[in-house]
Amino acid sequence: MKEDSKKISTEYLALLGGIIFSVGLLILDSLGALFFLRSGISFVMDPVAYHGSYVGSEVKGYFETIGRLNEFRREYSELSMKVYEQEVASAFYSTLKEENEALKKQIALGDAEQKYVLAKVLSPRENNLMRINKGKDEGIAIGDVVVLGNMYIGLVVEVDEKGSLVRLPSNRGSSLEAIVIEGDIESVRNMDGVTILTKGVVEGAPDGIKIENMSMNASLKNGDTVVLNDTRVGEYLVLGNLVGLSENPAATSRTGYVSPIFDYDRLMTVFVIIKS
Amino acid sequence: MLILNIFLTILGLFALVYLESMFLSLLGISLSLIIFFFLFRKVDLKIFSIISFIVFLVFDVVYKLPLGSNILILSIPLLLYLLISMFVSLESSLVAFLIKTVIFWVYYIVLLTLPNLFVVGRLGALTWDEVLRALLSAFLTNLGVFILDYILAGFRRRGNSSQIRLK
Repeated sequence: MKEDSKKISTEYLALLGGIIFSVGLLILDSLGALFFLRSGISFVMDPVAYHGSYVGSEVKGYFETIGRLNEFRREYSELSMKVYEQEVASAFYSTLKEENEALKKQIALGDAEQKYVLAKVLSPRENNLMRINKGKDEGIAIGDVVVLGNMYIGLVVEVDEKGSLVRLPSNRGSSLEAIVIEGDIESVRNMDGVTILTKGVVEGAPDGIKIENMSMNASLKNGDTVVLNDTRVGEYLVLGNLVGLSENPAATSRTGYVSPIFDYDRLMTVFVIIKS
Repeated sequence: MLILNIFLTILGLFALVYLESMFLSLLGISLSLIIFFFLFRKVDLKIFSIISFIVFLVFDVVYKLPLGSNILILSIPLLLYLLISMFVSLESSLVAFLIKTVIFWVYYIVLLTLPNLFVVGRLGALTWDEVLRALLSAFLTNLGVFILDYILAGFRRRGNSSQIRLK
């Protein structure tokens, strides 16, 4: 018991000594008398303490990140939604831009005297048939021609109130009369200045759009423009360029293929010529 | 042996400064406080006091406080500890754990307010958030002391088991 009380009183004494010592240090430090001690310890210990503090902050940052995982997940979902919304807005803008360009093309290259119905392509090409979103309600009928500017796309083969089915020139059921000319799409608009090289028949084939019955004597070359000139579709609608021209001297006529102006899979806006 | 002890003490001081800064940033707890209360009454008071003075002097410099601040701040919970230990045993019970937590809580609150008095001449303002954080730090500190005590007790038990008892 006596030993314990002695021990406790020693502790009190040590505490009292510590307080007196620290008060003395405080006074001396406020007077600047311990500057040498402070700068010496600071020089050695500050980098150690700084690095320890840095490591602690970094580890804390990782823990905080784990702790806020739910918040980050929610933020991620919100951002994903925003990205989707932006994508939708961007897609809408792209559609408008494409429609605008199609209209420009139609105004620049189309026949101003004819009546057109603007239609959107609904489905991707299947069996070389294309579905559009306009039908009887807009006055479209079987046999109407689908174009973009002065470029031929297809012929309406089926129609209902709200949509139509268009047969593309690559369809095996398609057979149209054509001419091959020297020059580009622009020159087709005023047919007076261009040279007609030969006539031919354009047919859909499994390996593309085939052109047959071309004159052996015509000076044809790959890249010449193929223009439709058929009573069923009208005069001077550009189809594409001549490619894969046959070179058989024993044949009575020449054949080749037509590379279409458009990639039919990428078409979005088309125009249907309405028979008035 | 003495040289080795001094060398180890200096090395330990560096490690303590490093770990103290790390734990203060990471968990907001003072490792030196844990070690201080863990070693209190377990090692020779003279050596303990000298090393404590040096350690807390270094912390004063590292945390840009007037020299002696940390010792003064620590003397408040230590005084409380000594006073309470006269009436209640603070060795190992739930009450002791709670009392120690309160003592550490006082330390952390004093640590938030008193340095301001030494530096700018008035006590620092406290928010409820800081008070609650101080309570959490106090709990963790006490847990740290408890774990160290438990580990030491384990060592002691293991030490005894190897001894041959004679009845």
